[in-house]
Amino acid sequence: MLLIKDAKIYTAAGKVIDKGDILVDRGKIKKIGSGLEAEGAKVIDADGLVAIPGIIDAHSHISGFAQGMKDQDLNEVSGNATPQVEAVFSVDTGSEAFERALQAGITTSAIAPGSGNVIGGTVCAVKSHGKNIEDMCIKNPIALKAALGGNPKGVYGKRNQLPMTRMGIAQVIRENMIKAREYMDKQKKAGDDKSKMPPRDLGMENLARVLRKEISLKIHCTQFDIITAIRLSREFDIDFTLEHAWGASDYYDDIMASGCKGIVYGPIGVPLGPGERRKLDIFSLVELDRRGMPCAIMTDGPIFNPDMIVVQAGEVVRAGGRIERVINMLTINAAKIMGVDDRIGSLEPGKDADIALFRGTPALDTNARVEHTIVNGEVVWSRG
Amino acid sequence: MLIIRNGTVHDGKGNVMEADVLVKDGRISAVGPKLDADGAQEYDATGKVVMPGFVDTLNIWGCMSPVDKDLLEHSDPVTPELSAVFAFDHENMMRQGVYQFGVTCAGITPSVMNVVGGQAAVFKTHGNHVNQMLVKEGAAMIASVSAAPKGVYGPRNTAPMTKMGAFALLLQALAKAAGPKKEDAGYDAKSEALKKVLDKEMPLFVNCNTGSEMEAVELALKDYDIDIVFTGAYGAKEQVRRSVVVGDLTQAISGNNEKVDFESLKKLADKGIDIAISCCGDVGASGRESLLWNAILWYKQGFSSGDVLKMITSVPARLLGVDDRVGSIEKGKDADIVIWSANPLEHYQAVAEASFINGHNVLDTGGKDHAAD
Repeated sequence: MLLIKDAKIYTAAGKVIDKGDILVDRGKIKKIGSGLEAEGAKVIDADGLVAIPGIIDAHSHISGFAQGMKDQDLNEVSGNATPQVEAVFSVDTGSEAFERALQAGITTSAIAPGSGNVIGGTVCAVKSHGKNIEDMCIKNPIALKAALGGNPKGVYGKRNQLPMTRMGIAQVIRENMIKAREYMDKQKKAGDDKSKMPPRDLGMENLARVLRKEISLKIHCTQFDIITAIRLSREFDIDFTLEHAWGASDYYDDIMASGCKGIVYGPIGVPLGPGERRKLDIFSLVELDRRGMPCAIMTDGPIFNPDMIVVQAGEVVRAGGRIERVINMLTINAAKIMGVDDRIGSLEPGKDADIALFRGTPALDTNARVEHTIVNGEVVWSRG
Repeated sequence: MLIIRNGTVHDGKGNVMEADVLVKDGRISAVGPKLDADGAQEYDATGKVVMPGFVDTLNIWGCMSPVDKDLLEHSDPVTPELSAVFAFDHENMMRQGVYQFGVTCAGITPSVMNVVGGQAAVFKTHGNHVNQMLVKEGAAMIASVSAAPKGVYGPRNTAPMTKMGAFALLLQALAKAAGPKKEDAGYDAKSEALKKVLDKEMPLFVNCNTGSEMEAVELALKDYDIDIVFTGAYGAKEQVRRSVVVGDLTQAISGNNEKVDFESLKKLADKGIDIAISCCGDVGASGRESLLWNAILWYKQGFSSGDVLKMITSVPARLLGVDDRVGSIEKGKDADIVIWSANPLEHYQAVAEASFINGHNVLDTGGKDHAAD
């Protein structure tokens, strides 16, 4: 048992407790209150510290892209659509990136295929600490990755292959979705007749999961590609999230009317230019959040180092975001978008005891630093 | 005339005072309490933080876009004769809107993927003409002994394919420039450019990411009396005797910036070694927020906000040789002054409410909307 005493607690479940205790038992949060006692429990004196749910990075490639991007184990660019591949198999659980994530208070990451392909493969939710991939991966798949815009064009355009254009990209998605529908129809028609069943196709199975709304399509898109994402999602009646989402402030009404399941914004801090880089507007999260859209923030690791999830959250505060809402963006909103909010994302009895203890308030105080990171009730990283 | 009244003035050199700042003809004409300023336009900065505009020592703003990569003259690994002035597109710089995040001046540098890239130029970050924005050309000679040059030339099977290859090119070019000029030799652009380094008219900024690269530079150049500044400098240790410009910490792609030893850097700072913070890294390029973010990351490491402010104002101005004009709030300096709602190094809520460049509030003149076009 672990007892955290006298912390300021942002529960990410609608409550901020100025001074409270968190009791952890067998890896789960047992109780939150004040004056809690537990015989034999290890006690962390958190007086003066701030407890928030372990931070969740809803869009990352850590441990799958090596530093220097030399080993790009998350871009299977042998074909423009590879729905059959699973990011979970490219996770290097021994990577130092997970230690760095823990230092920044990140306890879970959505590890996604890259954006080299129009359809990149499935995304998994991985904790930053554990014995092996089966231990660390809490849900797989959580989404199917897709990418619009310059990245797939950059890969296949050079080869004079489809897609060389945005028209081509949209068509790759449409063809795959239509084929998956046909695959599903054949399965349905075959019923119990195994002789009529189409040969099992792992890519089609993953696309079918999207068409059945078991998982969402995680769509890399910026600026005017946001409308393409919405248009395609409507055509195939699928759940989707907008990833990166630069330029979202041009499309508030479109996004809100689209049924979009969430925005995972970032990374900012890049030079502006025409086209995809014409507008970086992390301030849009303040308005989208106000309108009820689940909003989260990404590191896109290893593009950004793990500390940058909090620094970017600070930019949402600078743009006028209230701190409780911004902490939700780092935690519960990301968990909802990833479909793992039954286990993580808030400090409530019954949830996994994934907790980040800061000195100072992250995203408010620029010098807020993690003191302890707790995963499944175990203190897995401490300062000093 | 403009008078900025009653602000908490951080002068960029470590002093903090409650004071007025008087601006005449685009320059600071007085700093002090209760200044007389008959007829001056008044900016009430009561309760606000008044700081010098930030200066980034090394950047690419204004010169690089997906179509125009005008700082990367990779036809030759030794190009000291090139000047960044000719790569600068003021529209590109304006598009970045870096003045919205307090940056009013930046050193723009040729490629560190050449062993000798060329000459940096210093520009203001707001304006509509290259000549109006230019503060200084030939501010520094940009060189590099990091792994970057061999990454460009190695795949072509041309020198440098190794670090020793890079050093040989650098030393050969310096030796030629230092040698006697034969009367019939004709125009030698490279040697003439490097002579300015040998004559100490211009410092040599050497991009080094690791400690051993810095050691190798000391060994290679020990017989030359030239001003050397280490840039990138992620591996700087306490024995470093040169000024350092430490590069971007926000991006994690290269991993070099994960190896920064801040405890050693604190000792360097205590010894009085000049340390500047830059947001230009060894991989990606940076945006308008990046210099402030990097400063915040240093503050988070335990440096005082006053020391960090120097690292993005007066120190980079000195290293670029433009401290007569920018980098501090002092009489005679350009009126590049940013008014913050709170100390931006300490609080994320801090917003730049006014950004004066040459005495004009560029957030008032449509500047803020420009980036959103």
